[in-house]
Amino acid sequence: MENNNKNTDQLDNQDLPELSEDLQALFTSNKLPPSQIDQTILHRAEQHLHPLGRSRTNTKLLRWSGVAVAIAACLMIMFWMNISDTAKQIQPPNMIAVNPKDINNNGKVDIMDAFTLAKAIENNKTPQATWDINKDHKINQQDVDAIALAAVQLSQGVL
Amino acid sequence: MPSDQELIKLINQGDSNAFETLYLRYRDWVFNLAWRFTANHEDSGDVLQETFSYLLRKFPGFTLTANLKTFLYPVVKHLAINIQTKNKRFTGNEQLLDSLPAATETIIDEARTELARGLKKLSDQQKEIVLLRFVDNFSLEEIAQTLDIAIGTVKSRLHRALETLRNDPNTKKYFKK
Repeated sequence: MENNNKNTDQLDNQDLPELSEDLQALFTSNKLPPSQIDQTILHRAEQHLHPLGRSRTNTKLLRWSGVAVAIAACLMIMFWMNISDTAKQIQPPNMIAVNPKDINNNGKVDIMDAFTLAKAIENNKTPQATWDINKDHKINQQDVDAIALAAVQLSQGVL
Repeated sequence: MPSDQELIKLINQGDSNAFETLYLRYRDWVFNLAWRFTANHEDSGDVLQETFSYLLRKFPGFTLTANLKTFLYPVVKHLAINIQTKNKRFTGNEQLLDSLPAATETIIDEARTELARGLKKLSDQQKEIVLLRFVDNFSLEEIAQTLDIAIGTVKSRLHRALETLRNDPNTKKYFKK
């Protein structure tokens, strides 16, 4: 029985297996390609593709080296800041700047220093050299005013 | 087993082992296809080498939009014709059909000799479509895409070719179960 149940232009090698088999036998070479062709092609492939792999690696290295530099920079900044803070923390007491305006020695200059100096002058206490705030070799109201002015300027009372 | 698409992705990243896998997958098909056009093993080897060199130059950046065979077929055909022209040899499988017994150096049974005789009655275009359909197992759409012709043209050429073979005393037996 002929293959009339399918349009001729739809026939394939499952419909005509013997035709397909004989065609394949006719048009298949009985020789394999020489092995030196394999070697030539695969060598070319290695040469052509290897730089791609290497450039990819280079790109990766470049990307990661950038990250590494950034991390190193951050670490150096953190280290430097830590050193600075530590240096501040371990600064010996005799290196603390003594502010002559801090009359009551409470660590800050404020209006209380001006008041303390004013009371000392008023009570004729023994003057101390550091009380000569304006360096005019006199300890008087002008020194009190200088401390009051400094207290206003340093409103937060920091050294 | 990785698909062609997966291998191509790896090759685009510079993986030469993936290229080797793809090469070994299609080497024999390309060689036989070249032999179909050239009827000469030396030329077929040259076509094989040039075909994969051409494919290699497509990387990186190669994108496969269809079956790799539909991509390779026109390349092999073009290179085979070029080599034949350069070597001033006859082009086409007409020569192959004539030289088959000598080329294969085997005793071809009577049925296949008759098939070869029957195929000579087809035009080159019809023969090409019959071989794509029954040797390479291409779908009608793949044949149309490979040869860059309308699917209607593929159907009509295939229809005429098979009718010729069906009516030929040498090949009509293939159409009977």
